Amino acid sequence: MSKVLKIDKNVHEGVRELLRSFLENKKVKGVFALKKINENGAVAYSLITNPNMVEAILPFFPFMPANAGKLLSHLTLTGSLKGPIAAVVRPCELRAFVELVKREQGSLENFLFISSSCGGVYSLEKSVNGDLSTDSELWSKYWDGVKNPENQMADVRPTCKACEHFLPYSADMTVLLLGNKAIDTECKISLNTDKGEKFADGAKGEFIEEEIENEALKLFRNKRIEEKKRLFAESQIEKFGMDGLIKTFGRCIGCHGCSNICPICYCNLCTFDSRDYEWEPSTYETEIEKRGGIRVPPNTVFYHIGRLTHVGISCVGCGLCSDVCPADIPLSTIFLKVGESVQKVFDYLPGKDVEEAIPLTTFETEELTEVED
Amino acid sequence: MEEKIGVYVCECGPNIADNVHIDRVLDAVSGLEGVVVAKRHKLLCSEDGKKFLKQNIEEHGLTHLVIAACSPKLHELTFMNVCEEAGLNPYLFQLANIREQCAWIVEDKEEATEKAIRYTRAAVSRIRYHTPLEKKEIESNPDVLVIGGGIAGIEASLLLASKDRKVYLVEKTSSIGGMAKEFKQLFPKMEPTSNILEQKVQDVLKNENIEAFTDTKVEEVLGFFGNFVVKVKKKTETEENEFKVGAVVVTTGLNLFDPTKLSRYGYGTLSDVYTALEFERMNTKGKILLKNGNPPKSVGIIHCVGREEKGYCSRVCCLYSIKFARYLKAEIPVVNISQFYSDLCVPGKSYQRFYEETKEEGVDFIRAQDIEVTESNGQMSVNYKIESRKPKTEHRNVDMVILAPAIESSGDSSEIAETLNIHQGDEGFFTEEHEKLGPVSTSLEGVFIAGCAQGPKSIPDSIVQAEAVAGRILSSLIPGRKLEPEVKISEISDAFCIGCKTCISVCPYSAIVFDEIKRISVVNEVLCRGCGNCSAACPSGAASHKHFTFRQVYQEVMEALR
Repeated sequence: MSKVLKIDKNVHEGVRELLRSFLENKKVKGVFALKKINENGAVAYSLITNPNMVEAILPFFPFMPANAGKLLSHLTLTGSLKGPIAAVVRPCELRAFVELVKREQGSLENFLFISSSCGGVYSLEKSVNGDLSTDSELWSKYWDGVKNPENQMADVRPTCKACEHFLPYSADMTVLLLGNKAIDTECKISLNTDKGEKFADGAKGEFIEEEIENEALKLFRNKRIEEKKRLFAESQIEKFGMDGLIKTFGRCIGCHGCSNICPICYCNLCTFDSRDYEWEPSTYETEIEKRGGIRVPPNTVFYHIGRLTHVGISCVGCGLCSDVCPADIPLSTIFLKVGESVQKVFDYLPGKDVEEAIPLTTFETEELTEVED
Repeated sequence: MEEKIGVYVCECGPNIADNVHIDRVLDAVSGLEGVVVAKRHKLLCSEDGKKFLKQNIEEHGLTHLVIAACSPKLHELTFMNVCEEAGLNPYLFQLANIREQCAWIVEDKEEATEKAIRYTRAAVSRIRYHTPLEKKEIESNPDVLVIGGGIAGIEASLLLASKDRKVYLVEKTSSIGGMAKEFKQLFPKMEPTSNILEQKVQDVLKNENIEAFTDTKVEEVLGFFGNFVVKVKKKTETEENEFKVGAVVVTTGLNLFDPTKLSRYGYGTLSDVYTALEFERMNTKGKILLKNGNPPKSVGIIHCVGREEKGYCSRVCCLYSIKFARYLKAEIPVVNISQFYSDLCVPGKSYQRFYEETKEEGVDFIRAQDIEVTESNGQMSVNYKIESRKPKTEHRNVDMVILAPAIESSGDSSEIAETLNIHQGDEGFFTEEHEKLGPVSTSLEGVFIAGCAQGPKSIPDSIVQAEAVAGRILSSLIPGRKLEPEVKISEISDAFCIGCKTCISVCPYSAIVFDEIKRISVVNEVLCRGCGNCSAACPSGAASHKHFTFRQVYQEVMEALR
């Protein structure tokens, strides 16, 4: 059983009211959340301190304009923020931030993390061309899907539909969305940590005890696992071979948008963008001689495989790479599938626990014995 | 400047020539880009061979030198010296091992030749990407910090102190001498400990080149081989004392296993059960007496107390237990002595005889298991099992029990390990650099270990280690001479580094520091020994090894596999 704060308002207004009270009562210095930018439905993550601006916050707008984990890393890269900040982020975004903190790319200090049992988001394409706003059909369809496992979010991104990590691992508060049919009239917030309870203390509402893992969530989880199996099977990644890799990544236009948007791709200068990867004339000559012809510039498959090996272990499956790919390469499916295989080898779930070391930095004498002779 | 690569294949007498077609190796490399000369020689490491190489380098104006010969372990340095003499940067040289890795292990001459060709071509491919590396020299301080004033620390201090080398000996207790000063006599010769120890302690105290601190703790050690800054603090004072040294010797000794952890031995509950150290003190301070004031009539000495718990043999307990029988026999000739052991450990040229002579004096040695000490009606007894085809349980009545507890690492080992940034093994003792090849050095250059700080040890063995440490320091930290740190080391690119500190966590030499202002990792060029861990682990490609760059390794491997 968990301690739950129940506010008699719809989930959006409930969370806004809580955030507003945090700011007004000076419990926090700022609020980090998705905020409406214009009337066309555009939202962006914003850091606000003025309680009057809370009105424009859309905490669960089903669109990910950027991975909040990466943004929080920017905020805290050179040191932690002084005052407490309430951050409303999705579970995968929180996991990405934890992965970055493990690599000293940010600090968890002074954050109150408010997350939710997440219904996923629509693709970038659906979201930015004006189809998605709070009075759109996509919006009401989305919330129908959140309430009812049977409706299973028909149009959210494939990665989200296949995500079983929809409950946050290290949030102080979890807004209970999935499977809650009463979200239009009540806002239930589970208080997961002492910090969460301390902040909620004195909030307008009722404190109740409730089991988070209910039948509806189990149903959601099963459906998503099934969907993941289907997605993985459909992608046929195991059978890729070199031909499959060339076929899949061959349509890459080399914009490197995937690595720029990826929260785990944290290098400030990508080796693939550096002179290190420029071939010398002699290399071009030998390769041309050997193969009879080459793609210019070369290293397309190499770039994607390089990224897979670099970020696979920490990939949280946020789906942004697929969102931004102009060539429609199913990147997030590939990364999720390959990432999960690597993570399984090391019994590692990225972003679950900040104390759990990245496998690259740990050594066990009895490890990977099956790959030894 | 256009590169001029010279390739020289060594016949190594018949060693290589018999199983590799050398001319074919020469043919295979002579057409390669930049190769201006390819020749063979009977024995390149001979005086004649070295002269030949030197002449060739000069005559052809070589910019790079590739030699296909034996293992780099053998003659890399030899040929690097030749390069230096000929005015060629020694890092523009590459040795392909076609003896140990080709001629000697590949049976078929054709295959051996093919492999030798690949190795030699790979070396040529790689060397085009070599950059000249320059040797560096740094000033060094010849003084030494010795932590721990036991026998090992004393020995090391006495050997190291001289008019141009000061030794700072820091002891945490109120006097130097260590645990040995508690011992009455020493095995196997049974000479009084004072004969050896008191003289040495006096020598330390009188030596004007040794500054001994007692009741003092090492608070901080910063820096690297040749240049450490040390802060120590006396218990009674608030001010810290700061001095500079070039090397640190850790001789922090041992603790004894606490037998109260094993209730079956009755220690702490039965009145006449003593630890070995308590029994020594009984001997050094006065007579061997029971709590009731009478001398014991029968004594049981139990070996290996805590051995199973610790998982290792403490090496000296058997011998001092035998010595205790001598103490007892000398003072109470009629006393009955039973030694309960599980395995006797009496190695070396004099200990077997020491054991046999003691046994002949009428001391019983019983190989026993499941030992337990009990008391009923005022009579203490040692109960035990004898393992034979028919295991049986026996007991012996005794009025005194002496326990030989396992040697443990010193209680403040973790603190010292943290202060110095050296490693401890699972047992808590400090880890040597290599069990056989570096038994008294640690992973941190300039920090040495000796005596029981490194593992359970006798006094002679502790002294041997102290002398080994002195040898290492005397030969590497010479007053007035500058240090030449390793040249083939790692470097971290400012631009690529993201400051994730992964490299710091995998560096075994504590050679990477974090620049808090730029928030990037920086290699300390003196401490780095070029193991390459950081360049393998760096997720952003910022760390690289100067002599094993991505490009060098890539070119070498590509050519070898072509």
